[in-house]
Amino acid sequence: MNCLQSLVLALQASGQFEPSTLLFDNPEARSLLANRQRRTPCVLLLDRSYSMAGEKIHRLNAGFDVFRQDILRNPVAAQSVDLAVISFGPVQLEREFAPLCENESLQLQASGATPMRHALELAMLKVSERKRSYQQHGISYYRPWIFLLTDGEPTDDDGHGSDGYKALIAPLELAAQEQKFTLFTVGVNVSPRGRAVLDELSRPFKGRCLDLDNLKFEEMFLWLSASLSRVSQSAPGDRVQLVDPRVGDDVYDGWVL
Amino acid sequence: MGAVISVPRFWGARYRGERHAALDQPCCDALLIPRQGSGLNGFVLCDGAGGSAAVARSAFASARAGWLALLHLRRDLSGTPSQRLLRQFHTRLLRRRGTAPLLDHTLLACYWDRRRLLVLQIGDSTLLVRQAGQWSCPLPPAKGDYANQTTFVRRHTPVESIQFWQMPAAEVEAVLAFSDGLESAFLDPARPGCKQPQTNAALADLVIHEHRRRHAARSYPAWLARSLSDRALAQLSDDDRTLVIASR
Repeated sequence: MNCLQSLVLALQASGQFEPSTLLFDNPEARSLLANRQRRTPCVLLLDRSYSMAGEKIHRLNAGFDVFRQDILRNPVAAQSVDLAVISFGPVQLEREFAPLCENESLQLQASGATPMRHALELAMLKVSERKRSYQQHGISYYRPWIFLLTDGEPTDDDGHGSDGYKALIAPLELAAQEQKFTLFTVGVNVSPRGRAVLDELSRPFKGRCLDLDNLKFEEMFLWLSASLSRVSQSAPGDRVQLVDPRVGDDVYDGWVL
Repeated sequence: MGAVISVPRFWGARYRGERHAALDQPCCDALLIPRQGSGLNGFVLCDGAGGSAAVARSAFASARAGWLALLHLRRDLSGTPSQRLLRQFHTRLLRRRGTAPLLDHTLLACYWDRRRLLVLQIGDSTLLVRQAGQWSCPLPPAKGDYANQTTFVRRHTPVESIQFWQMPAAEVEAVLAFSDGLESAFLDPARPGCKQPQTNAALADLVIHEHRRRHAARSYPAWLARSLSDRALAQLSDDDRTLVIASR
């Protein structure tokens, strides 16, 4: 041991020398702490049927960018929120579950019908698979969200009006009871029947159709980002208080009629 | 005559999480470590849910009361505790709290003497134990299906929610206890078919290595507390963070 080391040890023992390097402030600790965030899984289930063409689909794509940027501004949420995107005109998995930093802009094109049942089935399947994957890899996670947005009434794959979604009510009730996930439904200028369908799907989760006010996609996505950020930072016993989407907050206006 | 077994003392630090700091709320992790020279060696950690001053006071009241209840249990204990003894622990904990309001919080109580290491747990604060060079988590955090669900100390806490674990003192090399705010750093949830969570053994070893190197310094507790403000930890959780360490 040289003189300097002896001096440092003596000063440490006497409390006069405070070591500058903190316990976790070194490359080894940093690497051992990397990628250990609890995940907040969310599926965006987005209607891109023909009736969404024009301003709706344009503002939906732009709103997604706002959502992505807002999540990435929050370091905890950026590492925690695990997003999948499913679109339905034809049902298509646009993005597998991944952190937002790995998700690029969304460029949905409007076409096709509104096969809501198949889209929702795929979302439920993806949530189950993701939870299983978390469990297999020893990753801790929060209750998943499915966020369904549509402007129409459900059809089959060929575009014929369909009550096939009713087959999902019992599985949704079971999922709500067992807290498997939470479902939110958003209606974009929906008809009374379309609203009734979304109300029915939301009811097991004690929710209702959230009617989008005047195509406020950006405000809706800011609310979603803020809400997922709150979930991603919640601790046991916390009641995750979501901002009232009819009112909004300092950053964004209300977006629900 | 057997060799006299020395028992290392516990050191600990708390850090107010970024969320509570931003809202000007107090740290709601309560930590009690008896002062050196008292002849008693252990700690009680109570993690309050929420950020109010009332929750912080409730957690502190339970930390003090939990320590006294633990001393009683230790005195009465021979072998494995019966449900009656665990029930008595809970009753004494509530009685010793006096009139302090009981708000949601967890409890982790630990005593290490020359005979054994005793641990009682309600909720998701937990500890890692190093034995024969291997880390394990003998009492996994009590969780629901998701990361933000656990059990709390309640007036009618079911006895099956009070977890107990002990082992001979001589077999314990080190103990690392922490509140939920550090859980992601040190633990992964149990995988299917496996009861025990995975430990971040390399990080636990690193902490113990630094602890052995530095704990003799007078500034060690302050250094440990400052270490808990690390941004890598803050990215895992902005909750309050408490770390307790003892090592041979």
